[in-house]
Order: sequence, then C-alpha cells, then structure tokens
Amino acid sequence: MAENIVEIRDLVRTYGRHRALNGVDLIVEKGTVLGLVGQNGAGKTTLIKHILGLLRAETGSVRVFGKDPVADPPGVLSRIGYLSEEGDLPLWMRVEELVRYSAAFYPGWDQKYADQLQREFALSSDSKLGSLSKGQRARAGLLVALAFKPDLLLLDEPSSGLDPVVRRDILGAIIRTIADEGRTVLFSSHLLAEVEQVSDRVVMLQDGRVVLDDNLAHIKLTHHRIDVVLKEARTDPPSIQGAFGWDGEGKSWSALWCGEPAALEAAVASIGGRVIGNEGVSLDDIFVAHVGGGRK
Amino acid sequence: MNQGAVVLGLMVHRLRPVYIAFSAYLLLLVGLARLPASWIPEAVAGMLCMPFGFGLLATVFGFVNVEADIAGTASAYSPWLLRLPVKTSTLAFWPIAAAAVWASASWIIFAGLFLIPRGIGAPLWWPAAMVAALALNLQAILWVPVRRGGVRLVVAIAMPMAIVLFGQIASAFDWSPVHVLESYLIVALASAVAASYGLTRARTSPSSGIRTSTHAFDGADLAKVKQTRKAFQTPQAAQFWLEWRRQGRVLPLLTLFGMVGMSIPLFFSGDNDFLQGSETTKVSIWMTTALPMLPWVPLLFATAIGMGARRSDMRGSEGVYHLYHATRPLQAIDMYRAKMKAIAAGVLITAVITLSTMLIWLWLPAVTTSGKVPYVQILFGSFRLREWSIMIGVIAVLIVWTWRNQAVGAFVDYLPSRPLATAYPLVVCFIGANMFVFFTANSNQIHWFRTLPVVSIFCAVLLVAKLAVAVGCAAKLVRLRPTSWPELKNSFAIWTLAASGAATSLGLIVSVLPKEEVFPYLQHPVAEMLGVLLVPLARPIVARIALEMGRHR
Amino acid sequence: MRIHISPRDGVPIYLQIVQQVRRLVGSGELLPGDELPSIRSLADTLVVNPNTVAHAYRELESAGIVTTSRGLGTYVAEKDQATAHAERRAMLAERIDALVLESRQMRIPFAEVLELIREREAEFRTEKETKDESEVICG
Repeated sequence: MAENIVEIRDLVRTYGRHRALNGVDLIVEKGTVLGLVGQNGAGKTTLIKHILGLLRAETGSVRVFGKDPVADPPGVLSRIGYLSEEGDLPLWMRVEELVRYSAAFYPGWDQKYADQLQREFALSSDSKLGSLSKGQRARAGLLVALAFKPDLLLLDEPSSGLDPVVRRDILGAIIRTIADEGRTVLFSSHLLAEVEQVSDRVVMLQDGRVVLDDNLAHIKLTHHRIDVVLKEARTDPPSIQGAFGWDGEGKSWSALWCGEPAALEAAVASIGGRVIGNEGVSLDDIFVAHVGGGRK
Repeated sequence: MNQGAVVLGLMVHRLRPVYIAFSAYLLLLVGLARLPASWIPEAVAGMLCMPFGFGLLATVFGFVNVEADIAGTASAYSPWLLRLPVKTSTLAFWPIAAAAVWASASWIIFAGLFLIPRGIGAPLWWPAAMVAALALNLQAILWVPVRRGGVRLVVAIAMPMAIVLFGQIASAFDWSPVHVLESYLIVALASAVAASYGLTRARTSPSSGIRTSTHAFDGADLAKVKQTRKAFQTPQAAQFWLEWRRQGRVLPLLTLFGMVGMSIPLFFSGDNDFLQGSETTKVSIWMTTALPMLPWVPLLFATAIGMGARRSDMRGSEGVYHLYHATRPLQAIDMYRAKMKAIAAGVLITAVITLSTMLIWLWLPAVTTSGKVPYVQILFGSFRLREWSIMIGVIAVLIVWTWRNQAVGAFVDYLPSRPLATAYPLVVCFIGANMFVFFTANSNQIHWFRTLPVVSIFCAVLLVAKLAVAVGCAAKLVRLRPTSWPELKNSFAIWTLAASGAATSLGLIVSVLPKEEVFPYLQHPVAEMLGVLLVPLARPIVARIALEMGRHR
Repeated sequence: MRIHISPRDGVPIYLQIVQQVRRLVGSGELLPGDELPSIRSLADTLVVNPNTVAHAYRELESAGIVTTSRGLGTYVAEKDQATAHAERRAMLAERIDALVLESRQMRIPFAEVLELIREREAEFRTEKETKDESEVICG
C-alpha cells in the first residue's frame, strides 16, 4: 500500500460561529495528483493552511509525511513546494535574491535546474518582483517551488487571474512533478477543465464537508447525462435515487445521473420511463450539480 | 450637495467618533476655563492638556488618509476617492483647506480659551500657523507618489521635527512673532502646492507608483542567469540577510542622514561668548545646542520604526501572517533570533556612526584668545571622573534604549491581530505624552505633594494593565503547543511582564520625588533612566510568544 | 502524431486517447511497427496526467492494438491483413451505429437512408471526376 503523504482525520475548524471545516477526512497517497474543488468559502484554503501548519487542528489530526506540521515546521515545510493564490512573494526582492534566499532553506535544491527554469520562464535576474507582471510573478513563485524537487507540490488556486500561457506552465509543472517517481501534487482550483486534465483523484468540498472523494476515472464513469422519455407527462420533475438537476417538460426530461451504470435502466423503469440518451458529462457540470443545490 | 463637502465627508467617515470626541474635549476645556483657578490643581490641568496633541494628530490625519502606508511608494490619498468623477482641484482644495482651518482653529480655541485664561502664557497666532503648516506638510509628504518608500519615511520624520524646532528656536531667540507667522504661512502654502501636485501625479500616472517593467528577456539576461552570488550557508544566515535588508540597516541609514543633516547648521551657526576661567572663547551656538541632542536622534528614529511606522513584512493582507514569510522552513526561534541579531547589528553600527559624529564635532577647532583649540578641551576640559562616568553612562543607556525601542518593533510585527498592531503605536504615544507632561510638570518645580497622588494613580493603572496582559498571555500560553516551553519559561515570561510593570511604576515615582531629601544616591541620572528603561525590556521577549501564537493559530 | 484531447468533453481523457490512436492506426497514419511516444513525453505534450496516458496504453495493449516491451517502448502491433481489415470494419461499424440511431430519432425510414447514402456517394464520384478534369486542363 502506498504511503500516505497527507492524512487528515475528522478535522474541525470554527471561526466565531461559522464552521469552516466540519469533520473533514482526507488522504493523499504518494504519487498521485489530487484536485480539491469547491465554491469560494467551502474550506479549501483553510484545509491547505492546516497542511502547512498555519492553523492548528482544533479537533482531529493532521499529519504530513507522518509528522505534525505545527510541531515540526522545518521538517514538513522543507519538503513542500507551495504556491499560494496571490503569489504573496515579497515585492521588493529581485529574482536572483529570491532564488538565493529560497535555496538556503531546502536541502534538495538543484541550482542547475533552477537556472534552467529561470531561462525557460524568461525571468531576468535583476527585476524586482514588484515590477513584474502577475504572470511573471506566478512563474517566479513556481520556480522556487519546483527547484528543490519537492515531495509535495501544494498549489492553492494557482491559475486564478492568469493568462493561458502561464496556466500551461503551471499544469506542465504539475505533470513534470508527478512524472518523477514518488512525488505528489495537491492543488485546488476553480478551473475544472484543468482539474480534469491532470488529476488522479478529485475531492469536492462544500460548506466544510466532503461531498465527493473519488478517482477521476470512476467519477466520470458514474456520472452521465441521461435523456428520459416518460410514459405519462408530468409538470414537475420526476425523482429517482441518484439523479438530479432535472430539466425538461411533459414527457421528455433530462438529468444528471450519479451511480453505477448497471443500475440506470432499472431506476428509470421504476418511474415509468426509458432512457433514450446517455452520454458523459464534464467535471464542471458534475460540480454544479453536486454543489449548486441540486443534491439534497 | 457640494461635491467637496461630500469628498470630505467620505474621507473622515471612519474617524467620525474621533472628531466628535475631540470637539467635545475642546468644549469641555473652554467650560472648565470659566471655573475659578483654585478648583483645578496644576497637575490635573496638565493632564487635561495631554489629549490635545494626540487628538489633533488623529483628526489631522483623517484629512490625509487613515490607511496610509507611510513607507510605501504610492500616493497615500485614498485610491477609490481618486476614481470619483470629481475635479482634481476639488479633491485637493477641500481636504487641504479643512486641515488648515481645523488645525489652526483647534489651537486658537485651546490656547485662547483655555491656556491663556488659566494663566499659562502661550503665544496665540504663530503656533496656529505652525500646526496648520504641520498638517499641510503631512498631506504633501503623504500624497506625492515617490520612487523609494524609504525617502518618504525619512522626510516624514525629519520635516515635522524641523518645523517644530524652528518655532522653539525662534521663541528662544526672541524673533519677531510676525516673521515667524509669515514663515509658517509660506511653509503651509508651499506644502499645499506640493500636495496638489502630488494628487495630480497620483491621478494621471498609469499605475500607482510601481511601474511594470516591459523589458524583454534577451541574451544579456540569459547570461546573467548563471552569475549568482555566493549561496547562503545556512537557513539562519539567509533569514539574517532578509531581516538585515528589511529592518536592520534602516536605522543606520536614517542615522547617517540624520547626522549629516544635523552637521550642516554648524557651518552657518553664529557664535556665543563662552567664559572659561580668564579666557573668552567663541563657541558655536549650534555646537552647544545640538551636541547633547545627537545621541537622542537615533533613539527617535528607532522609536518611530519600532512602533510600526513601516508596514511589517510579516503582516499579510487580512492582518494574519504573510503566507510567504510564515511558511519558511524555519523554527520560530530562528526567525526571532535572526530579527534580533539584525536589529542588534544595526544598532551597533548606528552607535558607531553617532559616536564618530560626536567625536568629529568635538575635534573641530574653536577660536580662543590663545589660538585654535579643539572643542573637546573647551566643553569638557573641566570634567572629572564623575562627570565622565555620568556622560558615558547616559550614552550607554541611550544605546540600549535605542535597541529596545527598535526591538519592540519585533513584538509589533508578530502581533497576530491587526487591530492590536494598529492600536499599539497609539497607546505608546499616549503613554509617552503622559510621561512627558509629568516630567515637565516636575521640572517646573510644582510641589511634589500635588503630583504624587496623580502619578501614583496613573502608575497603579499601568501596573494593573500590565498584570492583566501577563495573565492573558499565560492563558494563551497554556493553549499553545510550542516546540520547547517547559513550565519554568512560562512563569518567567509572566514574571518578567509583571516585574517590569512594577519597576516602571517605582521608577516613575522615584523620579518625581525630591531626591536630596529621600534618596540621595538616586540623584545619578543614569539610575533614573534605568528605572524607566526596565519597563518593557520584557516586550522583546514576549515577541517570541507572539510569533508562536501568530504562526500557528 | 496528431492527438487532440478535449477535457470538457464528456468522454474520459484516457478513452479519447484510445479512440484517437485507434483512428490513426485504422487510417494508416500509424503503421505496424511505428513507435508511440513514451508515456512521459505524451503526458508532457498533451499536458495530462501520466497515469491517464498509462491507462490508455494499457487499454490499447489489452485490445491488441499496441505492444509494450519493458524498457524498449510501445509499438503499434503487427497485424495480419485480415485482423487489420476487421478492425477498420469495426471502426466504421461504430459510425454506422450512430447514423442508424440518429435516423431512428429523426424518424427517417431505413430505405430512405440507403437511398441517401447512394446519392451522396454519387456526388462524391462526380466531384472527384470534375477535379481530375480540371487538374488535367490546368496541368
């Protein structure tokens, strides 16, 4: 069994009266890419901050590389390459200063690789980070997160507000990381197309709870858009266990079906209809259906 | 409704309670002035004066921008106000006029309807012009976008000092009040022009001070990629470099400018006659005035830095820790040590700069009847061991105090809560104003019987506050799981806080007592200063606790 | 080797890769013995998870379209004529299935569909002849 890079059990986090995380379990296995999705305020960033040790676990436990990130910050953080949503790099530093400063903290720093990345990203050594464009800053952050070949690449909405070229660089970085043996990636994103492209596993958070936690392949397999024709016309949507987001009128209805493909025919037959169309569905639609109030 | 009035209203909206409170305070003073003088003892009258400077500063700042980042490069004028569909002249004129009128009117009411009826002789007109000049000057300094934020910080400290000093020197040398008034009006006018210009620049420039480089990556850049300077040996060394760049070297640089600035008047200063034995020497007025002030200059800068005049690196956008700095793979104790080392190195270099400047000054020649003689012989020629020891002691205490004031900045940096970090400098100013008034009242030979009760109450309040903070810290410590904190260290932290509070109070009480009668051996000024200094030496220690608390919430 | 994947499509990415490789082999663009890109390089090019590419290659191998040898790479399988032909027929059959389904939904009778196919084929033939002629004329 693969070693678990991140193990979170029954994590709860309250801000005042608001429960940001409500009993979250999460396991990230070594060598996988995990996509964390959820609406704004669902708890993604809070979860990531727990992994970084910036927040203490109120109840439950957080283990990264088998250690508690609060108890041993250097032990955990020196193996994590972190890129935050805002970039958050010190704007007064020059690129070469940033590289030099970061290099000191990571035992596995590969200066040749860092130089290669700097050339690839076209980052000139003398520029101050504050004078770079947002995309270039993101690349600089990516550089110092990748150069020491981290065991865990942790990205918090890395693509937000960036142009497609930078987004391609970031996805490429994810792929390169995972292609190396034994390295892991955890990233949260709103761009579900990207999550679909590179993730092995997808975890969906809503209101601090995990509503979906599965292999991407299985998710795609068990979610279909179905077109149904009923024997009798209806004015309000029919209801089947596992189908939601009903749309249509009279005898023709369509919905999103979530379940094992084998059970579909029987379920539709039970409401007096038959399936006339059945196709795959994008992660965007799956997300909206689960989270947009369709699922009760 | 008038556009300008609306803009003003939007500007000061957040500080509404302060304006109301300040106006109420002034009205209270006017009312109290009507009462017979015997009803209100001198000490209480002195205490009543304290909120004036404080409140005036706060209300004037409302006309600048409450959320200004003094050390930032962009203009501090609210960006969202700049985006309103209002003419730039309107945006400039109304706050400037309001600041000038508010400041001068406040002084005229305060002095004319309170100080003078109470018999405290204070000039009425030129200080009104002075506070107006100060207010407008502040606007000018903060509204103009600059290239380097450090420049703004230096000017923001130096200019107000110069303006106030000008007034003090003028009154000490009995210059014509009309001339002083005119000079201040000129300063005010120039500041208004500069502020308007700054606003125009802020509005028309494409970005807010930070220019995005459009430089294309070319062959030269490619070659430069390989050339890296020597790598850091350890993470601690890298962290020291960071702290040095951001905090450590600020003080020496500021002090260097300060020393150079202070030396310039030497060339223009006139001379006084100085009788030494049977010889008459021409002694530069500036030399005798400014030389004792020199060691206090870095202290002043350190206090400004330590109070968080510059927005801390550690503080992120929502007041919680900055994500990049908080996720460095470093123990909290190493972060803290790096900061302290950088500050210590900076203070050491500052001390060298200050002492060198003093020595250079002292070796300048003065003209005596028997030829040119270095100043040191004239000014300190009669010093014996006791005088030398006092002077060296005072300078040593000042250096430690400089370190402590800047090191407190670490505590402010690490405070996990943004409101606390903002409130901290205000509280320090308030306490400082208190102490200033007490010492002034004491030196005016107000009988100590009257001051003692007031001082004791105040010190008791301070002590209770400190104990409350200590208890609160202890409660938080219990919840923490920091890496290595045995019970002993917890108790030590609490004890230090409480003990320092007790020492403060004692020191303050002792300093106002007539020492010759009660404590003859505490006449030594060094002992007095040490009594006050013990105060929050604890605060740099508590910075460590604050860091642990803030990094893992 | 031209492979395009579309993440927003309902079809899982690994399946898209499988389908496209099959199309390339079926149309003759990929000949038996040709080497497929390594898992890592294809993942880099398409910007997809290497595990997905690996899954696709496994599917292709179990379908007999490619062979993988450890350390040497993945190659298009050698097939005899009959098997290759049978596979092309299978691909066409999929297209025809879709056509039949659509015609049912649109309620066009099968006889009409056949007629339509003949018409379209005739169009193609005349088009091609005209093209050949114009080529001769222009020379």
